[in-house]
Amino acid sequence: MHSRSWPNPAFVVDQIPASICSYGLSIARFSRLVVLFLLSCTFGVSGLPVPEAWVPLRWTGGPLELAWRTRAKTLPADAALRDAIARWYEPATLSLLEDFSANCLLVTWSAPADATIEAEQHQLVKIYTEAAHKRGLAVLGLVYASGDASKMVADATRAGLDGLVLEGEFTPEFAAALGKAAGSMLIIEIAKDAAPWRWKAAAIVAVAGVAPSARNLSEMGIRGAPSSEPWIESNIWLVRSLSLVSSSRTVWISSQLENPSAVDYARAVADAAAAGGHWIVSLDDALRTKLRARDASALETWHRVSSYMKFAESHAAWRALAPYGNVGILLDPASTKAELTDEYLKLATRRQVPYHLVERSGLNAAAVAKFRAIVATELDPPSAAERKLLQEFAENGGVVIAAPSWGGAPKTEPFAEIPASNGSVVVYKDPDPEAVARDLKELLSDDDLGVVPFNVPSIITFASGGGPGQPLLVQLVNYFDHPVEAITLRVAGKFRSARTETPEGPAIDLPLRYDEGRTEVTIPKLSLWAAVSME
Amino acid sequence: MREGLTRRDWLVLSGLAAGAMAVRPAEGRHAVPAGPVEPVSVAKVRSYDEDLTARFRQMFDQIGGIENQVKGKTVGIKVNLTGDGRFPGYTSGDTHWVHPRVVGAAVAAFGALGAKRIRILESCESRKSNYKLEDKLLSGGWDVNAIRNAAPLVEFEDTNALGQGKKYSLLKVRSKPYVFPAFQVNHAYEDCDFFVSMGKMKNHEEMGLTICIKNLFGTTPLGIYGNRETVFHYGQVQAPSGAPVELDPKSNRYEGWRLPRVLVDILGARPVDLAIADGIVSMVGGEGPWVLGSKPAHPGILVVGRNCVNTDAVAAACMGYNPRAGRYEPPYRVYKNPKDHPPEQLQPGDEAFQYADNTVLLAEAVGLGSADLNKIDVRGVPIKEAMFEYEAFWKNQMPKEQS
Repeated sequence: MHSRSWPNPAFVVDQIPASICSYGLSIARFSRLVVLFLLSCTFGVSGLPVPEAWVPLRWTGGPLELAWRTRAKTLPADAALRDAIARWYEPATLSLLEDFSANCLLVTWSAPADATIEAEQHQLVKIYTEAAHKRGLAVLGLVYASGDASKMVADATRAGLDGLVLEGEFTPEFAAALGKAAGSMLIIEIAKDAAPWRWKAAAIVAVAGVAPSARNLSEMGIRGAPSSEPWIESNIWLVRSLSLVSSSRTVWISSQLENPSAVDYARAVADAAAAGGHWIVSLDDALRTKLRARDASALETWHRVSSYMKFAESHAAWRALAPYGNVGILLDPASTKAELTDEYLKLATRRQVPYHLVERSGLNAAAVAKFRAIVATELDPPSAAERKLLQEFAENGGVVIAAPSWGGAPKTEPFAEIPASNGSVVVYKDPDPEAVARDLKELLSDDDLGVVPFNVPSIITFASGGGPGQPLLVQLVNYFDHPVEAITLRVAGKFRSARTETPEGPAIDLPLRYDEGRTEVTIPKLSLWAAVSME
Repeated sequence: MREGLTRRDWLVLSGLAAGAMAVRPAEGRHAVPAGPVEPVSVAKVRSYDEDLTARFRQMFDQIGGIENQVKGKTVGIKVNLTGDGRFPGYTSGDTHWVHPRVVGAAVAAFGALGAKRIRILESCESRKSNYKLEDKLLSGGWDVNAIRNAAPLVEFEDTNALGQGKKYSLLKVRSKPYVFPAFQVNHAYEDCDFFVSMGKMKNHEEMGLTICIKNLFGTTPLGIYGNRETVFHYGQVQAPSGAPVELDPKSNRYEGWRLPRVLVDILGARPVDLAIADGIVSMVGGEGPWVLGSKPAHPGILVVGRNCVNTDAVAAACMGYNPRAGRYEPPYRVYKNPKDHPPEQLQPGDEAFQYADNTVLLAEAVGLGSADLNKIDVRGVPIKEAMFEYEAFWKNQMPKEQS
């Protein structure tokens, strides 16, 4: 636990209406009450964490897992690895979870297999679940393939499972039948296609993500341009896009790492957590086998993962901070170009453009007033009312990025900048997410962007907070294995203090520099994940 | 030089040993012209953590001292920056930009010698209004304030446009021009009493080498020329109205022929008073990590000279190349990926390996400096002791003791 970490109790109190504070409670006493209240929200009456507080850990094993992998032709050849998988639900593996932040186990539950194997699996899981519950761990059953929905739920209920997780290809009919049979039991589907889930009202959204990494284009056999940056695989944009309906909803990212190092595991945790999500911690078979044998290097890796998860969970309040940014990106739930939308979000994130997402139906004068620029390429074409609103926004000094249906698109140049009183409308001939993201950085001033990081080719930044009474929080995740030195953040406005926190060590106060109404700080060294809070 | 010759062969052939080689110069079989010759200092520098300021003072002394030219004067340093990519574990200053500690140490040394004003100059290639050179340097992780504080008055100027000037300066090519008779540049290249080209010792995908002459390419402002590739590399378009036009619009468009000559013209327009070549850490196989097959290297070399041509010749020799190499000889036997070049640049079309002409020989031919190692007084560490063979390292043929 980082006792000096932000947000401190005083900050929590700052968010409480003054009328409550006037009851005469001392700040310290009230802070304790707030913490107790938060704790009571985290645990249900059973003593188990409530679903919104689940921190997931893929914890597959048993005979059914072996059978499933045999069928899927993914069973490891090594006998020791097979043995570890088969015996994973021996009680001793639960001791690995002492002082570990994950509190929700995803166990192998349903897969096509011989009935005796399935029965043996269910019996093992039932016993293991009882033991896990005693340790305050929730247990969810992984369902790999369709089956008898009613039986599946009935069996899960008998085993004491807290829910089911669908992972694989399922027909809508099966998902509907399972949902109907489930009653109060929670069903979570790990969606391969995240786009529809942006708009669904679900307390927990689980989606397939990528294994976070970075590679130079040349390593991929691609001859880039001098302006090329490393290719980064990240889920930060994905978590953000799924937080559009509610910034507080729980987002799980499912991805399996290939031959991961300790750094890879830590990065996967950081990548999902930076924007407020959870990586479904997934250990490879070799690590699990070594962990079972209490191998020292495996335990070291495990502890590193643990320290990153603790860092994330000890700063759970960061998830409640709204994204910071003066650029609004309009999304249309009815868009038929989900892949293009994803590219906009990925590349705006990659190009370090601090942005907000705005649903098309939420486009109004109040919503646009807080922005300096609006990417409206998804309004293709805009309605008359939308066009009027955006035109006025531009005339008042804003920058609108528009599709050719706006009118005035150039024939040869990539875009035409059409002046509009104090601002402009930038109409693209053929909007390309890469070009738009790159151009945004050049069309907007540093003050318009708000937060400008330097020396971050292998890094993705995510800024949040910065509202009245809130610190501005800038999180940085490095996707190269090598540390980066001398990263500068230039932030619009004058700040009094800046502090950086990392999972690796104590918080460090950063010296501030002021220039032309901006504040600059330099982070001396970033290994993997850091958060800079500025007040 | 064709593949198959050993380093010993070219040391003999290139004139490092007795007898000069009759290498075909880029402009045909001419006698070696008697271009200007100034001393060049070579140092082995293992790391950027060394006291580079003291090293520069020593090297400046070795080349005869520069205090008289610097004291009370404005010094302009054209630094070699380029794209922002990285090799994992390396900074851009390590491999494809000059290193900030080299810049800071040079600034400190000039300041100590009494320079009135020192300007750091480079074209940033950003379309963003109010973009500053300092921003580009920050993007490379440089400590800009440390450089700013290394001498009494240090300024930074993005020379991609007018910058602090009110109009562009017209610099006429003082040597016999090959392609352009003059260039328009940012005022800072004219408003300086002592001009320094600080280049990186690295390969270049199309030109074979980037050292101090190639570094000057960035003095041409995009604010005037719009696109350097189409105007200078390929000659696909003429410079926009108002800029000096090329002498013969029908001349060879092949960049391996054209660009080396343009570079020499730029050197003829803005002569260099001091050349500094940073090869302490560098890269081989290209000018930036975006070039396929390129990789970092640790040559541990620093070269300083008063004549840019002499300095590049010595630096090329320190890189293991024959400074008098001709077309198709390393490093001027280059590979152009057809995907990345206009079809007309792939001459002949069925041959993947293309050529570039040797810039130092072209410069020598118009009297800008000698590329003849027999005539250049190399001081400090002998070339043979400083040498790091880029080509061998690139091809994984480096002797164990050097790799």
